[in-house]
Amino acid sequence: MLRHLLIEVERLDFIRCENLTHIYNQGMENEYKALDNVSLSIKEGEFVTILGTNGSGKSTLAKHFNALLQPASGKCFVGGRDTSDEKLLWDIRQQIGMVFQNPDNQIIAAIVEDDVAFGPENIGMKPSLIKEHVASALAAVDMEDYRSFAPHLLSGGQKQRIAIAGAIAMNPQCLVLDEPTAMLDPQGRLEVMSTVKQLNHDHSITIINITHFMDEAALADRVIVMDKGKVVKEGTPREIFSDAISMKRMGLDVPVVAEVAFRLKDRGENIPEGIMTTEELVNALCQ
Amino acid sequence: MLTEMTLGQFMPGASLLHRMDPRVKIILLFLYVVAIFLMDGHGSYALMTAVTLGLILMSGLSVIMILKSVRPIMWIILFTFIIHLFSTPGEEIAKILAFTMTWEGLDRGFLISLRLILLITASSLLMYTTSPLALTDALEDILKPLKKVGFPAHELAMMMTIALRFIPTLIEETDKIMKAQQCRGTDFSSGSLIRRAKMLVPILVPLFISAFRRADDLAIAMEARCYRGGTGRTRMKRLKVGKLDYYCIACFAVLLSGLAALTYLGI
Amino acid sequence: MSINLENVSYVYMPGTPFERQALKNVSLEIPEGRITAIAGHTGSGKSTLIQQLNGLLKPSDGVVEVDGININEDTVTARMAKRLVGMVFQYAEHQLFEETVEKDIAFGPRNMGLSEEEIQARVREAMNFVNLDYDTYAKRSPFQLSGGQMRRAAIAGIIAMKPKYLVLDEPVAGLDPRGREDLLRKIKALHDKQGITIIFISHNMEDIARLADKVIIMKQGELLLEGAPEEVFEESEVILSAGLMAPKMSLIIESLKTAGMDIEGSAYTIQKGVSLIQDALRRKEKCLQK
Repeated sequence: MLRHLLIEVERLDFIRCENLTHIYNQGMENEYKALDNVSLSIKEGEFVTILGTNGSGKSTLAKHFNALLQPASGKCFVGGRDTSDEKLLWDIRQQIGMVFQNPDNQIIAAIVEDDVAFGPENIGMKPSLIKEHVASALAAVDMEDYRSFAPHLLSGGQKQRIAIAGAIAMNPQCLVLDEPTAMLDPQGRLEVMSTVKQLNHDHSITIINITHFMDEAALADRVIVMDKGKVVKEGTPREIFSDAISMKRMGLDVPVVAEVAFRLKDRGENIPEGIMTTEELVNALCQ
Repeated sequence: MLTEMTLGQFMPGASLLHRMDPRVKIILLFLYVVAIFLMDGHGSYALMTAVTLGLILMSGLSVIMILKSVRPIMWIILFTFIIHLFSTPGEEIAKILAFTMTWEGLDRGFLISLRLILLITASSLLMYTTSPLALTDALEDILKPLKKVGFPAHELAMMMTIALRFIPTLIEETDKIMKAQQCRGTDFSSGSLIRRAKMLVPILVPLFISAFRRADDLAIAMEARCYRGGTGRTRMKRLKVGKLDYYCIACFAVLLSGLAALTYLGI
Repeated sequence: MSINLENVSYVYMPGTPFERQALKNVSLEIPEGRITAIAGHTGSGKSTLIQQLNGLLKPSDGVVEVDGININEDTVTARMAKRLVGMVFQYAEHQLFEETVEKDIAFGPRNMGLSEEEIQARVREAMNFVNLDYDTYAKRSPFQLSGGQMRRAAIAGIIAMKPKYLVLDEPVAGLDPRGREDLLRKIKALHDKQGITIIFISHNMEDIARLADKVIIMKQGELLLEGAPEEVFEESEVILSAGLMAPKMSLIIESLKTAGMDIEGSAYTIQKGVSLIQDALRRKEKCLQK
């Protein structure tokens, strides 16, 4: 009991945004407020999904986590470090690995292992240590057999796993994935999501996954919904997806099972709240 | 598919030439080229031809394939040969209009052509046996001392690395855009030259836009992975000059002294 | 009338070490006036397949006929037949190049040698159809549009050529749920209102279930399944073997049946599935009352 409590206490906020605002093209004619007073926190080891339509500010938010953007006002802290402090820039980027949407546009080297080594090389790691990190990063994404491959010969899912390996080779505490599966086929999506889940589970890496796919969101501990630059909803997938109407109103969706449960309930059937899996639906309907 | 083609001329293999340190290869090639330009006399040429042939055989690549690399400059060689054939004074073989062919010209022309052929085959041997990546790394290493005088050795090598990585991607992209515009009625094969040049616009504009978008994405991805130029950067793979390389350097030194002796003796 | 493939095979880079057979002996019919969906794992040959439909790739073996005409013959009729098939590539917005949206959409019709009035009329019609307001967007640069708008502008460029058959390679890839929904509705409307025959590639079985009258599933260059959706989606095991998933709804119905729920028939759309479940619940209540 006591130990359990201690663990709970130790799960500190890893990322904390306080009234974060971001404005593109500030002072110009096409000025655009992408983030509007966003406050949120993400705990160490947590798996968080951010949902939102295009233009809701998700990607902008993600870029603040890695100090790729600077707040117009408000603050963003990563592991207690202020992202607007230029001296801490490289520490922050080393702590947060990023994976982007297009697998082709983030692989730098023409050989898989050279690409994975890119990050460690940039932070001046010793060559012998780089080799170790590259090997364990490739093992973590299950791509050891492809270390001397040319990236353009790999499938989309494999390329994204290489991108993940490149990010975790720097030993980050957190991985931010900005729509990593948007350009992949179902197989590739499964590969990437199971890799991400495993990194969260086995290596306790904090995961922030931005996605348009509702079934991916269902894997997370917590879902944050953004709309027009603001955080509008926060909660477990179960809580978020039980309100199909407001999700659809925001241009989002809910997983098929949740939708079926919602519609049955809507037609007056006696169905419990928060059904997320086929199993739960079967239990509810066939008692 | 276009995308599956190998890059450049590199032919993977395990021969001695493949295993040599790329920096040693580049430097030896440089010396070889200098030697070819300095040497004179039939004996030297015979020796160098024999050595070059020996290297080709050692590389395990087909002699014909290597010789084919001479083809693009065939006309230059022929032109040089003819110029020398007619312009060198000496004993007359035949006369065509106002031009005189001489035995000396034939000899000179032959040697100069041979010199060009040796140059091309030796350099293509380097390209065939060294992967583009190894070449890039080697160049960065060789040019490193020039950093002190402000030469951007690291930036140059990084540019080459990225280019190598993106060539297949852009080939694929071009293929796709061409097909898409073909579906909108673009015809690349007929019409006047101006019309055909105009038809390139629907290909080139999307290609440039895509290349810029990729460059933008890539810059962000590199920054996110802590890239901040060459300073403070380490390398996972360090090139290493091994026993094999010292052996090759020794052989080359012997060859050079041989050449010097032959040139001194005027053979 | 229809598009017919007879024993079509296609080999990439024959005679080189990179030789790869992308299609093996594929025979199928794409009927006019329907919506046909093609699904398959990456590398299953589906992209190669659609490129056969308008002669972008010529079969190594076999015949492709559009409305009864072999399109790979070197005749004027064959060229005309190819023009009946319009093609929208994956990430179609990458083909935009003109200064204005209007000019870009006019590019195809202009290449067809139409009169200026006709081109103008078609551009307006196509923009209207994809929900891009002419007065607002016609003079804008296509590169100032949002991702979804660019996609629709690119599709308008093909629609303006008035193809009889419209092929779309993963038309909604990379769009957000709202963008996906909007575009799928547009595609359905193209079929329902304009009478265009639609052929589309998708990974998303939910989308296929909603739109398609006919489903084709490819695996390693071969035709694995072909038929009406209700027939094809019955074979959930075979679909799984192709690296795909049957629509979630049909899987839910299957699970409920296995658990002993008295469901009559099958369903692959949410609408129908919910009705079937409700019917089953009604029957159960009646039984209990008796």
